[in-house]
Amino acid sequence: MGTDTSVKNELNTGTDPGVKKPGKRVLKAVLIALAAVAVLALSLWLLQRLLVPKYISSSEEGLLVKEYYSYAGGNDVLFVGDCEVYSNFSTVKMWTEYGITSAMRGSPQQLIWHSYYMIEDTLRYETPKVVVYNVLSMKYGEPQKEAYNRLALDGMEWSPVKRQAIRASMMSDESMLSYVFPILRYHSRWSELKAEDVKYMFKTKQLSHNGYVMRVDVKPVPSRLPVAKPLKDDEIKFADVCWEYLDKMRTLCESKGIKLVLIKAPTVEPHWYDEWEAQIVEYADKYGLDYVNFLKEDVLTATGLDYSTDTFDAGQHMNLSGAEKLAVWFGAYLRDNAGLEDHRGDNDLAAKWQSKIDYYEEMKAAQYRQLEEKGTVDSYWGD
Amino acid sequence: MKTLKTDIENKTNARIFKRLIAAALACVLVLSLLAGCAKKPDEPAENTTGKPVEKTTAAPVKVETFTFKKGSAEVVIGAEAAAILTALGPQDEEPYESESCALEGLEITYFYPGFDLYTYKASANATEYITGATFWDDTMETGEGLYIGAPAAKVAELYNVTIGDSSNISIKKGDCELLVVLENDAVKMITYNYPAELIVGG
Repeated sequence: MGTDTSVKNELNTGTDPGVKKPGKRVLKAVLIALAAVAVLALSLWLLQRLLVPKYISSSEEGLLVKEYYSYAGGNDVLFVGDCEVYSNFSTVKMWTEYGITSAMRGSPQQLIWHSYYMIEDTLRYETPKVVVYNVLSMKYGEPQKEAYNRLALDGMEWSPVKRQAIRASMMSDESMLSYVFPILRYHSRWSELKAEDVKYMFKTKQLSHNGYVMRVDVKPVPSRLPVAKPLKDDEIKFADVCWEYLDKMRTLCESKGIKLVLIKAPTVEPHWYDEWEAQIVEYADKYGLDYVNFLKEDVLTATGLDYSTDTFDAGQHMNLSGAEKLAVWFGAYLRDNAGLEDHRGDNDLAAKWQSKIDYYEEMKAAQYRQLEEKGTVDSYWGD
Repeated sequence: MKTLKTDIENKTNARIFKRLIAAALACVLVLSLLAGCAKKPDEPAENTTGKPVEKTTAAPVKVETFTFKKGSAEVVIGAEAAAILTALGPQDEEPYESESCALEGLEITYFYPGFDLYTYKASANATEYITGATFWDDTMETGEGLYIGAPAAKVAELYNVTIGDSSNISIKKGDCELLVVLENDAVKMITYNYPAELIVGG
């Protein structure tokens, strides 16, 4: 005890050579503080990983935007748009039929400003020869639901483009901070956590085939469809903001030497009005853009699409059969009108695409198996 | 001395350990606060499946709205659908169902003679609400007596509105909108709209 006191005294006077000097103490304190901050940051990061939705058993399309970064690069065609894109055109079929490399950047109810920034983001990784934009989202002049913003934006990699995309998309009660720190948005999920939240904390499943989302089941278009509701006055003309972003999309593509092709997918619901069609036709004519409306009788016939077999939800989205038919027709169109090359002779690319074909066939088989066993496809992975 | 020095180091290590514990506790505190926030009614709604779902504002309450009749059944726009659907009886054809892309929420169109009826449910097990209707022939009449083919002047008379240049006339009652489309000075189409975003699933 007496010795202890003497040591303490020596410590106080700093005479013990074994005792650290003030500089070292400060350094140690700084290191400890840094370690504490690191522990806190790591804990919060882990917690954030745990709490953010994993999009495995529901809202699976939430995986799409992030998945792009795994197949970015070397794509001749980039599709942008909503479910009318990612459900309706088989990228793998475009490869197997024509050797066209294509990718999609689509998410549910993806609005035109989302699509525009998806193109900008894509240009950070590759410059496609063709950008295909599905025009349905021209009807939305403002964001409809915050949840769709999250599905489109959460998966984007951080860059100035993402920051701009968030700014352009946020609803009045959203904050940039909740995109920087998603835990601020998803913290209340703590009481709803499931096993999949742990299982897929760091690694997730692959949903798409270069952006295409497969469904093999069939639900025909019924003989009777809802009457098209009349358009309100403010729904007839597309909003100025939509034209502004279409202009931006067009000029961006022009500046990069990319051919912009506008399409309207052949979905029967929601209704595509003649008033909307006229505006897109006029715009395409004015700027010399290709516009393909798959709902037009001649195009529909040429694709061979059959609404009794080629849709899984009564005409709102195509199933695999429909998506392959559209890919076959549109692939030929792009080959002939955009001069796209057949890359199947490129061994490296062919090997890369073979692994995509393998996964495509695997998912297809799993879904058919589930369809046979359960009479329905309730998981994209067939599990 | 070595022993004493080790003792000092142990104490220092104990301090470090305490600080780390304090940091961890701070984490827990932050999380507790965050968890506490979850109970605030203005936070984004989420469901048990982990989906981000639409934000909702308020449940439909008994407010002013439009109604119309089909036989003895009264259709109240914005009301719960079950009793109304029962009163309307069997439909001509299977309803057309439209799921929200990626999110929960189901829009259903029921087909009845003379009109389509729209409903919405926020999830599979949620309560179904009437969100609108479209008349497509002159066998149907609004609660106020407007029908397809009626002269434009009848709209002005029944709803006390001015007929301007627009072919669409929007008439509001509470949160419900009645949209009347005119063509050649006559009513061409009649639609009721009740905003689905005002509906909270039960």
